[in-house]
Amino acid sequence: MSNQVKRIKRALYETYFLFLGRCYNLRLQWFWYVVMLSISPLSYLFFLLFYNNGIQGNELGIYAFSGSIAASAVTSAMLSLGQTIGGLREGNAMEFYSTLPISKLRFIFALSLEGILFSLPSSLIVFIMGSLFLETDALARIPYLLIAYFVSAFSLAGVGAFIGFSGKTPQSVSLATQVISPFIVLFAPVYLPIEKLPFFFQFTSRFIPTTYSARAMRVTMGYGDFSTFWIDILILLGFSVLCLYGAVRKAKWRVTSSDAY
Amino acid sequence: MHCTNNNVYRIEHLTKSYDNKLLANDDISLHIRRGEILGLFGANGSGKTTLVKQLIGLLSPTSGHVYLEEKSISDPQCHISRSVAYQGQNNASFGAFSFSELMIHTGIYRGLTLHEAKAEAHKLVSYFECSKISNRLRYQLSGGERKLSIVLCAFMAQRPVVILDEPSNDLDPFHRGQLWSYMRKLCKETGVTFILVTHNIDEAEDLVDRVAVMKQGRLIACSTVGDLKALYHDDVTVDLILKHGEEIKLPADAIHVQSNHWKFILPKEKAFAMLNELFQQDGHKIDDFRISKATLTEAYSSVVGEKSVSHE
Repeated sequence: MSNQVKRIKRALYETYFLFLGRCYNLRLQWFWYVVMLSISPLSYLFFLLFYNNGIQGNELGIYAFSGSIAASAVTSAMLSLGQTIGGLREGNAMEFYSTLPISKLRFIFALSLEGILFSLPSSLIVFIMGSLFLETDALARIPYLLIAYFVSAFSLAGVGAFIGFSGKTPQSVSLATQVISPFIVLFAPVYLPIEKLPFFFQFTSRFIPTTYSARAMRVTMGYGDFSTFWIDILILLGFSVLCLYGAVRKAKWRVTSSDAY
Repeated sequence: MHCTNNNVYRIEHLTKSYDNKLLANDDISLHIRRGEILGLFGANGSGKTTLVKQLIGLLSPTSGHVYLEEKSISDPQCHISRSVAYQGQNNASFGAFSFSELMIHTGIYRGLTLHEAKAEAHKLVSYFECSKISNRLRYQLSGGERKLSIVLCAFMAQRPVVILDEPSNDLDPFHRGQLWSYMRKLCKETGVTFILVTHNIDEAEDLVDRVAVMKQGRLIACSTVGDLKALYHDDVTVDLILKHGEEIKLPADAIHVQSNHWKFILPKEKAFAMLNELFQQDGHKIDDFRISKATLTEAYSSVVGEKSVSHE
């Protein structure tokens, strides 16, 4: 086996065990994960459906369902990373990880996967509900949804990691991630068509990944031109690479950077 | 580690100050030799943890240098995490891991396969006789048991240098004894270098090769146990226990240990003369007495300028 293959195998092995270690938390917190991740998006959906905000008919439903999934996808890893790293730092547990020869990138990746794992089931339920409710053929596009969901989740994972590593206290980390979330959801065409946003936000939303995530989600639900799907995925991948690179470069881990990649 | 130099760590004029201008480490220079057990002693807040955090790269120095195997730890070629295992003060975390799982994961993160990590964890669990608790989740364990699992993680996938920050706090006497004996065994059989931060000075006396003493961020002494104790070479400790409710006139430098227990540290000849005098005047008020050579704790207390009361 070549060294390159060995390294890739080892990287996957390490990432799996980092992820598995995070999943042990389900032993203690599974009930609250189920409650938080099921009740919250569903109540959000009902709110949007009952309080019509000017978008009529089928379009309202599409925006409501796809927006909910996009918001959940983009914020899941970011919130999970920020708050988990903040919590680990508070209990000095971050010292445990940062003194081991593990890669910072793989650590961020494993924590992002944890956030995705805990948010994906509820989003899938919303997607299936939406597909049935709107009578679309979206169920056949679940693989596309998964692709869009994972890429969306990683698009701001680096931001969550950076906040988690850089915040002065776990409380400030938690606050920072929660302050960012409404901005990236409400100031982008997630629940509304872009024309409904003020002109300034129509421009700034181009720099927010939720714009592309929501468009990709709408396409998977059968609304809009499918040819934009892969373009949106590429843009989201660009956000992911940029944010993760920035987080790995800038986030405080230990003095040397030899294990950063 | 392929290095013929005898020093594993070379610390040169290391200074660390925090944002609030607190000088946690002040111009520390120290060499840590390969295969030795160095005891790092000092009162709470004396800068011990700040020092070890700089040794493993968790904190960067304000000025000065730390070299590991002659490579600056800020050099990307210096793979600290591959050479040094660290047990910090993170006892309360990882509640959802079982006692053994945390060790197995540590082994895997240090490069072992699952099979190898399980085998190593099993060996350690057997040595420390804790198989009964090895499958229990850490949040279900007592403070001492949780501490033990964190300490054992430092021994997984053995590193040439192991830094233990107060490993024996919370451990019961049996596991403290096992820990000291395991460290001795590793040191003797594989030449592992240990840096041991502890407050259990008397227990560490038989274990450590050299002692570094810190006070207010400065390294105020660094020598072998024998040399440090030689500061007291003619001194002895007299423990005097009075009968309940009795009082006698004692010399001004007597140290009050507790209720009716007093302690004196003084040259051997003076000790016998003093005891003779006390027995002649108030012998019927004395319940018990003991004369012993100065311990490492007393030598340490002398160095840091504190009156020792920890002999008991």
